[in-house]
Amino acid sequence: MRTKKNIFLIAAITACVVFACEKGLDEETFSVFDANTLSKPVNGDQAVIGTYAALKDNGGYGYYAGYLYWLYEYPADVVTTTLTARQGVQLDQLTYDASNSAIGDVWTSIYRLISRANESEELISNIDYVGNGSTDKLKNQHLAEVRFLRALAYYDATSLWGSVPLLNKPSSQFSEADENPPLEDQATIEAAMIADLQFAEENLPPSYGASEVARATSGAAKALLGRLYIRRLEWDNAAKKLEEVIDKGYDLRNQSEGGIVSLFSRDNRSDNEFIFVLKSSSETGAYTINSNSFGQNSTPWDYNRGWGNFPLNLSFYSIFNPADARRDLLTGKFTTIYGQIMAVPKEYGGEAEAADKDTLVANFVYNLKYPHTGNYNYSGFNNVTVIRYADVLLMRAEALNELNGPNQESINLINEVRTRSNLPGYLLSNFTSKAALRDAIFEERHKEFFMEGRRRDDLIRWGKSASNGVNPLLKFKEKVVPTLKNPTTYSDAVNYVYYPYPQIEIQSNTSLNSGVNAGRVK
Amino acid sequence: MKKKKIWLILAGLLVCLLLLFRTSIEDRFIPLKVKNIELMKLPSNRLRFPVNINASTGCDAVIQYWKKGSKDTLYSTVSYGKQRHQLYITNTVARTSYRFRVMLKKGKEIACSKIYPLETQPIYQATPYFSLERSDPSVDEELKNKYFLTQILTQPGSVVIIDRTGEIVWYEAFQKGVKVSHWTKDRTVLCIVGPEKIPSSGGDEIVELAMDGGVLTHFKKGKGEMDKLVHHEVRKDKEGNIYSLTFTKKLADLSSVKGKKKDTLNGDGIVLFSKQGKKLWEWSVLDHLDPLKDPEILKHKKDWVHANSLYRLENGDFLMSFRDLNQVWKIDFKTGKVLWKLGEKGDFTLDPKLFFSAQHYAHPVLNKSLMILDNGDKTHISRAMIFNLDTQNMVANAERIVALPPEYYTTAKGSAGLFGVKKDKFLFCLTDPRAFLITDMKGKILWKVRVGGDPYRVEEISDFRNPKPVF
Repeated sequence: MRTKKNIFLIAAITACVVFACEKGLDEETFSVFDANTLSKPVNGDQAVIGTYAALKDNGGYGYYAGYLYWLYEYPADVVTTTLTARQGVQLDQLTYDASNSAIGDVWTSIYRLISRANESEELISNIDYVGNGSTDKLKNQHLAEVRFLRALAYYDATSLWGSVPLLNKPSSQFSEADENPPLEDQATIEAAMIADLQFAEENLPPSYGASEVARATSGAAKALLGRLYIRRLEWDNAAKKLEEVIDKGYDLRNQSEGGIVSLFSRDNRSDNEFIFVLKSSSETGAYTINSNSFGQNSTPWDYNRGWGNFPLNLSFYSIFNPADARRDLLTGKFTTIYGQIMAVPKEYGGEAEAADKDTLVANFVYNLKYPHTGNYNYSGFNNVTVIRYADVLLMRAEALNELNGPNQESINLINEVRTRSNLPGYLLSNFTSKAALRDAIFEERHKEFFMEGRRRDDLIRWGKSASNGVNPLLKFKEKVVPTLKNPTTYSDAVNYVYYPYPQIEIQSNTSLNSGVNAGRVK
Repeated sequence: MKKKKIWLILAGLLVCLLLLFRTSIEDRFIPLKVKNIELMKLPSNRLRFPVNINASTGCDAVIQYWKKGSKDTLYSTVSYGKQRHQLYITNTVARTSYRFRVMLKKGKEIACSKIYPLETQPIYQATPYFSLERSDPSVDEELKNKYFLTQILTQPGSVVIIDRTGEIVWYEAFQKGVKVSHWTKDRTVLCIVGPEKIPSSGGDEIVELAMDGGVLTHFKKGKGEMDKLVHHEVRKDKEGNIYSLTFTKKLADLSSVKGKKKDTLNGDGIVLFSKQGKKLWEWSVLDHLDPLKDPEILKHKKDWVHANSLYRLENGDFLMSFRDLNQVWKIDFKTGKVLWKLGEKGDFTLDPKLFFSAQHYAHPVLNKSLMILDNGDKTHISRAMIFNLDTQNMVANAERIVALPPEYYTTAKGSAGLFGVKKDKFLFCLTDPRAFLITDMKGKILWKVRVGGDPYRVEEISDFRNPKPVF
């Protein structure tokens, strides 16, 4: 009996060993792996970098790598076009319409950046930084970086179109209506931008370590906010905000450092005069992705086999004092790749009297702010300036003049910029009226910032302040009409302050109809 | 004592046997069960969900899924004879609640998992929208389980499958544009992909995709034997070879018409690749046309005749459509000779009312008839036309014509094919009016989807759904 018992026991134990070892695993488990929710601080950093990358969109000519400055420079009075680029000619000669592809490209790039910023904002917000060994300070910095970039995109959108769709939420929160967003008042957009920039100035660091190049600083947020205030003619806000940037780690590149010409040297892309730039990489394989189109397009073929797509009117050369170092950023006289001398004619302040076999008389001048070398070298390793310190100085000078009329601080600020370029300083007694000093400031900006994307905004603001806000196109018309091939192209029925909404947007956004472009095109 | 020893030895043997055949006993006794399910949501595609399944033992597996509250059950493909399976949910619409469960089968034994939720996200991208504007009840039955393949030409591009309500149920996005797409007999999508700057629906890549997103075929210009850009058409023949239209060049003496002594003509060709990408056959229209017979050859030489569709027939010959000639050609595969030309100035006797212009999508239908979309460049009326060809007497008659109202005229692109089980309806893709239409034989519009961008072509898919497995 005992034996039998033993046997049953052994059999039972055996059965347990064989069958029971799987017990407890039989419970069915279910999990969702959702890669759409990235959860580590490093993912937050990646989201930030991805948002910066949208500044150049797909590289080449995208957004700040090219087309944006087409829209800012071509219609104004300095940069003109060669006849080969049809889209550019339309912008230059004010014959564009809603189907101009550069207008459509910039619109798309802007909203692509905004969309990336929105997605990044949500992603960063959902990441537990502290719980993953990081800090909330870094989390707020990451949020501040994407909000700064979003504000910059809206700055461009409102400069170019005025009222635009406001879309500050991630796609996960989209309703049906968000897929066809209506136009929002410019003031509403600007309120959102101010909120973004105020958050950014609070939460961005004043500077970064050497490995983190070209990221937005609190100074960049303040300078952009100052630029927005000044566009809104809020002089007091602008003066105060810009003062917060002055002497905060930025200065002009002075003559002992090589002056303004060396500021644009490719060896000097981290100068502390640059407050915020689109940085281009010199890493191998950077072609089209990290390059911009300015180097290749700025200079002519005869100079260094450039494409010469940004010729400047000769009359622009003539406004410079020959001592002005900024004139050295123009191709006044050079030896062509074929060995001839190309020079600006005497009547425009240059040296050429008449063409002969060794001398060519220039039809245009070209800017040297985006130097490049080599043949068909697309990889323009140049900074594309978004905001630099000289701009902050001149904007504060302008705001103080609008507030108080001619004043010593404005004169001092302008003189900083002038003396850096070998020019004598102004005296307060040179200016007897607010208007006179205003004109001097805009003339200074004209010479300082050519081909840096500022001229169109400047002409419109100049017109506004010179007409007490009544006629934003006062100066635009005065300066641009003489540069048109056919002056009758200019139409008083068109409000050139705003570009037409792109055709692609009107066709795909059911909230818009073709009527939205009334008064924006001929 | 002796007895006891024997018992012990026997017991020991039993233990050994049990241990030795443990696995087969498990097979016999371990119940078939789902142990673990992992649902994956990946950002690369918001309508495609890999599901990892771990079963208690080797078995077959399939996923059943359905819209919450619906009785219309969908299935994944079946994965056979494994313990760990990866299956895909591939037929969903955005922003919708689904339920799913896993079914396992081993021999006659069936096991099901619990039911789990799947919430799909919105598809946020530059996708043009498709919206159903009309669906006549008379086509309800016909549209059941029908899907439609189309494409987004602009960058970023996409291959898109929509259901009968215009909802996107499947897509694959590309950085480049998708110029044309084709649903193959193997239930895969074949397409031409290329940057926008390549004109004439041209591209530099041929891609074949499985429904789970896997790339089955990928030819790229400059790699392997693909040495020319392709355009307008990519399809498979009955052997599974891939054929496409190409851009070809040829030097010609145009000095007698004020051109150069060595002038370059740009025309169209055919290329046939094996599945592996080996070039099997090539043909060029430039070997079959005399440039000096075109009085405007200097104007046309950059894109002469403009081929825009290609179809390989059962016997291996090709049908090729030339927009600028307003003709469809049949080309002999063995000799490369042009067997006949249909259309204005062609080889068939044809009533001038049947002349077509800037036509697209020449393909055989109903045994030996030939169907096209006549864009109607000359009349500004687009028509679906089916021709009956008498190749003995070289007479062509219209078997069926549906002329669309003027508002559906499309200057370029587009397609027209027969639709439905009885092939008694027409399916149109109309590019300029941005519409997909199904009409009856008289042209009455029964179904219409409005498209947000320019579509190139639409194809009917009858076998997009995975069949219900025998479980």
